Amino acid sequence: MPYPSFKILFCFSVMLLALIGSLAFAHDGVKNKDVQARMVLMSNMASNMKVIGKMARNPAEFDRKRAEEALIEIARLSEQTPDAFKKEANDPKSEAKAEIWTDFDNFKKLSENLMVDAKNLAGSVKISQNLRPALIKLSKSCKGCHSKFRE
Amino acid sequence: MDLSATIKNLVFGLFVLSALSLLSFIPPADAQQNKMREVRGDPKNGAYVFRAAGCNSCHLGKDKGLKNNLSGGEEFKTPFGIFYAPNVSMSEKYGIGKWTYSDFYRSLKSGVNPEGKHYYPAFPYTSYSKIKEEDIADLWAFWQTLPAVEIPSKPHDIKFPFNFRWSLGIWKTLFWDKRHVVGDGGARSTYLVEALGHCAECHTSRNQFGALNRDKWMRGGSNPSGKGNIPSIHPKDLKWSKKDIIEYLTTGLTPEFDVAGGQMVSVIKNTSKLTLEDKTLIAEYLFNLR
Repeated sequence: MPYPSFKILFCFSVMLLALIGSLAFAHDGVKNKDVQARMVLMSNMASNMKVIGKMARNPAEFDRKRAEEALIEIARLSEQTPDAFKKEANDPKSEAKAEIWTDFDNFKKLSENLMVDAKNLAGSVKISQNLRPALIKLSKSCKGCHSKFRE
Repeated sequence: MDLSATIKNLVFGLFVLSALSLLSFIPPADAQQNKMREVRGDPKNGAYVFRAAGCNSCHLGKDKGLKNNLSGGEEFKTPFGIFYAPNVSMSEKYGIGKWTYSDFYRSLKSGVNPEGKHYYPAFPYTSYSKIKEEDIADLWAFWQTLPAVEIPSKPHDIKFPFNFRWSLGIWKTLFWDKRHVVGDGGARSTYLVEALGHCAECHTSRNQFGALNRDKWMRGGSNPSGKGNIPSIHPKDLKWSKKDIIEYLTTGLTPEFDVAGGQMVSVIKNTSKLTLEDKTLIAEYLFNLR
């Protein structure tokens, strides 16, 4: 039997991943697509935090390039955050507080703070010992926003 | 059932209710014993107790620029109405600046204000009443060092019939269970979680009268003061290691590197300043719950 071509395998993998992704959200029970989109953005943020966190916990896994990429990705996602939340969409599964829309300028400012922190840290992580302070700085930025705007 | 029996039952019911109401006006013995006693505490330990008890988690004022601004204002939407954290700064006009040590002691131990009126259990005196006397004295000594903030407290907006404070005397008689859940309270781990940390106040569900369901200890439930649910922190549901719990109490990061939100952010701000030994004891308490 001939092996399937790389293109077919690639397309199949993408479709499979999309299906798994949609099933995961179906399990979460999020019905509103805007809420789902911003939850995906937040979970991508957490995935990149995890990359840094895992390396911080296990210095043997330190990969400077990978850490820098994760930090740049966090900066990019935090830049997108205000747009993702611009529309006041609700869902029973949402953890967003109404204050996001009553105090949107502050929400935007705190998202920008995270973006600036993540960008600055991207250039400063040289050795594994830099990761824990970076992680704490990022978590402080996240908490600054979560304390006001997340249930 | 004949009419006379119904009337008898009604009269008996009213008698029991009246007796319970009277009970609610009698100050507890421990409060009476401490009424006249003033003590000198250690403000340094008091600052630590302040953090462990998370007083600022609810009472912190809007002006975050002022350190330890306890002017309150935080809103708690509950099924009984809206509670607003009062000003407990050292302001003589709006806060507790005129209180004596025994006023402070009674508020924590008995849940009553200096006039003897009952506090709503939104103020977690059901947990704080388990705080040791020496720690209350130290906490009061620290409180004297905090700023007076001249902002009036916002009155609570409570639904009928819960707006009658005397009814809380009945509530206390029926629902205030003063026993510890784990051990007799002698262990520091229990003291940190059940008295100072008052974790159960949010992480344990409540019955329709707002009393904690002790048989569902730390298993989460609907948010008593907002939308959504408070997660279970019982090991049957939360599969975190002791190390994970310590990390969360230190940084607010979950094992999946999600970051704490809502009220937990200020809780973490306090727990992050506890000693590693105390954070380990909290983790052990939670980890060993059965």
